Amino acid sequence: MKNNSFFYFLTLNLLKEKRRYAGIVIISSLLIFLLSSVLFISSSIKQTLNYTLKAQPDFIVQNIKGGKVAPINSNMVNKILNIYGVEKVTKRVYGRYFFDDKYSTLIVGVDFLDEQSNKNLETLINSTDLKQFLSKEQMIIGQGVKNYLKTHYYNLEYNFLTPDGQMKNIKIFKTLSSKSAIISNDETIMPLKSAQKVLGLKENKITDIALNVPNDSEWQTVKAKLQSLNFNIRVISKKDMQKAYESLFNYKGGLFLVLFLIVIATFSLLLYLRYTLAASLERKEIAILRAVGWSIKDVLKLKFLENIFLVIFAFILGSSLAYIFVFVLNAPLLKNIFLGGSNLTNFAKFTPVVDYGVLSTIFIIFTVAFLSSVLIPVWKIAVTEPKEAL
Amino acid sequence: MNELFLNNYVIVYLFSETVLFLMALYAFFKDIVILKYWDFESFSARQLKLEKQGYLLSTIATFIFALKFILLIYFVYMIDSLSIIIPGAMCGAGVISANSYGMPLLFIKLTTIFTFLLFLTLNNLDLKAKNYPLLKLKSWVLLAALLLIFLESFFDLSYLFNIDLSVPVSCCSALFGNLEGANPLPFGLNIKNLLILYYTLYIASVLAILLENRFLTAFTLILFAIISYYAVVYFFGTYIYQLPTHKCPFCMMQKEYYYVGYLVWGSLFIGLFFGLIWVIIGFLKYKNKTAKQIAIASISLFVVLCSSYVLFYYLKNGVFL
Amino acid sequence: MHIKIALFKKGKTVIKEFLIYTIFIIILFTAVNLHYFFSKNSINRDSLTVAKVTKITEPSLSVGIFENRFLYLDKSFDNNVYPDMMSINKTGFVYEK
Repeated sequence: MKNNSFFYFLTLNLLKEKRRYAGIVIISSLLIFLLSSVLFISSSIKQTLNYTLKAQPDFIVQNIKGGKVAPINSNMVNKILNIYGVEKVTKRVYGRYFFDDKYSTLIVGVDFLDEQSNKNLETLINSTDLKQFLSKEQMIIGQGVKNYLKTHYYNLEYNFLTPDGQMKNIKIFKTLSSKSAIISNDETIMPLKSAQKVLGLKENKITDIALNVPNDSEWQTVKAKLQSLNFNIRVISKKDMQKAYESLFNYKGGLFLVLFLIVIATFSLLLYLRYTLAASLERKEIAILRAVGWSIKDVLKLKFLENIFLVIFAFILGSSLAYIFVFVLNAPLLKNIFLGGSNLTNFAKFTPVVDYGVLSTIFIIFTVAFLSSVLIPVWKIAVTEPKEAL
Repeated sequence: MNELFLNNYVIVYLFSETVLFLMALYAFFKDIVILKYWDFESFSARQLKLEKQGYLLSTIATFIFALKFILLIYFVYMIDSLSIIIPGAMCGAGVISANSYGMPLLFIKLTTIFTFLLFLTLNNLDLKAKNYPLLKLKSWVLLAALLLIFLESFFDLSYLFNIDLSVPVSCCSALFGNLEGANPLPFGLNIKNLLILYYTLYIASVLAILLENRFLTAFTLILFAIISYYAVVYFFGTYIYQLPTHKCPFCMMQKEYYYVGYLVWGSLFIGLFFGLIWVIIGFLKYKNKTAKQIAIASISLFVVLCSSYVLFYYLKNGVFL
Repeated sequence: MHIKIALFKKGKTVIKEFLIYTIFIIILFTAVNLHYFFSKNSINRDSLTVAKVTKITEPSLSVGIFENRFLYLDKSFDNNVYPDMMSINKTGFVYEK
């Protein structure tokens, strides 16, 4: 039975019942498509965030008042610099600026004169432009911000309203590419001083302080020392962030998967009924095969291979279409479930990530459900006695 | 309800295990009926029905075996990926030892797969002969395999429900690494003797299989498997990681080492399983050349793979670790 | 009859229609793999460049005023009755706290 005619017969059989199997394949690939799109999106975002975590400072020091983050004095930087083993202490100034009562941007102030951030800036804008950028008070905006400003006819500049009632006019220098939009979609990067003005911070106040500790065996001690600087200090380590990112979207993916199990269960039940129904139609066919000399084992093999063909076909079709949907078309509709859609339009592009874990997850969940629901009906067909059926 | 149960891998794993459990339960009752009423001499309708159900059982068993095999790999992968969520764990070793159910669970999983493999081999032999000579035996084996599945399901749930995310677990260097001078090796061996024993046992088991001495094969193979475990963890593993202090059976399954751990442990267990199956079949006066060949090929692959890591390290760096 | 003849006919191996489906699947699969091979990590790098300048790595969520875009910035609008329970109707739900 291992020769070509077995295979030939198998394919012939599949194609003969094309109409019956087409329905199963379409529904199966639709289910796989849905599940894999969701899992592809979540694994892609997770991977991007883990990758950008390289830029995350080892520690962030915040000032907490009433459970909320309050501005911190910039002279704290000097205190932190006194701790041994600490380097790259940077002031971070950021906060939300509301264009109106619904739409807002994240203002990020960067000290461009700082040697280190200057170097990083060079990779963002090429060096000839850099001089021009630093000569005036200008800002770099994300794709989402640009889109909002454009629809409100601010193509070249924007007038920020500061909390103390003044106007602050800042020119738009550049728009960040939508390739980085997963991080930068709603960001507005501007000089530190301007950001302080727009956010209403006094000159010696900043949002929080970031610092690096190159020797990771010193992290515990440094963290304790930072915490002892003041009562109301909160220290966030990179590890906290890493863990948060890991379970980031796990909830949504997980919740979706749990709901999906119900769909899969219904699908299995349908399959079971369908195959039981088909059994009565196929009895004659199988009886002929048995009469010709096939054993029960051969018939079982035939039927199982048929179903395995269907599963593999549906799996490749569904997951490939999901790949195209997510990574080529950027997952319209589904994107908003993960990135939100109640603020600026998100222009994020997903980095193609094909995680073997995710793929095997989809494959296992589907194969288990599919094959286990057809197992008993298929056996029932296979053991048909030729005498009874004919 | 902890965060673990919203992890994709855990959900899918539990779902698949549940489906398999239900199938096993179904098969269990059918199997008992067969064991009780089987009578090949009879021409009753019941006997005819039982013969048909025999096919159902072997189909279910094949299905369960195939999925159990995939799920074992998936389980190890899952354990590895959970190491990020569980505090303190760096690789699967920490996660699996998060509570006392972990290690037994892994052991039960391997035993289950072995029992199913044995059943499938017996089933194959049984169906080749026309008068079902092995039916009683294979049904008992299947019963044992199904009972192992029930046990496994219990351990699965106990293991996953008892992982406490707030308590840090030990990482592999604490579990296998420096034990403050204490010798972790069995029988008071040192590394040199361990390696001598490792290669001797390898040659001994291959010879025993070739000479068709079944008692000796069983003895040497089991001993070889035990010694191999220690040899991989305490000697060959350090070459895979290229770090003399890194002693861990799980880290080699990570991406950084090209998932080589799956091949290392997989070839060892496949060799062991097929070797033992060959031994058991032999006692029933059957011959199975394929099992013999797979066993030899598989443990040879294992030995060559392990040794080549050492060899390549030496050729590259000119020193041993 | 049709089936029987097919079974004993030697030499013929694959039906044309089946071949078409297989080729379609293979082309789809290869196209996806090629796209993956040439475009992986290309977008990641851009995000990293921006994150290096701003030192902020939080994802840019398009959230309403009542939700927090920032992981550790504020913790308002939690459920007072069940402080441990996560609210699931907002994007901040994706964060573990």
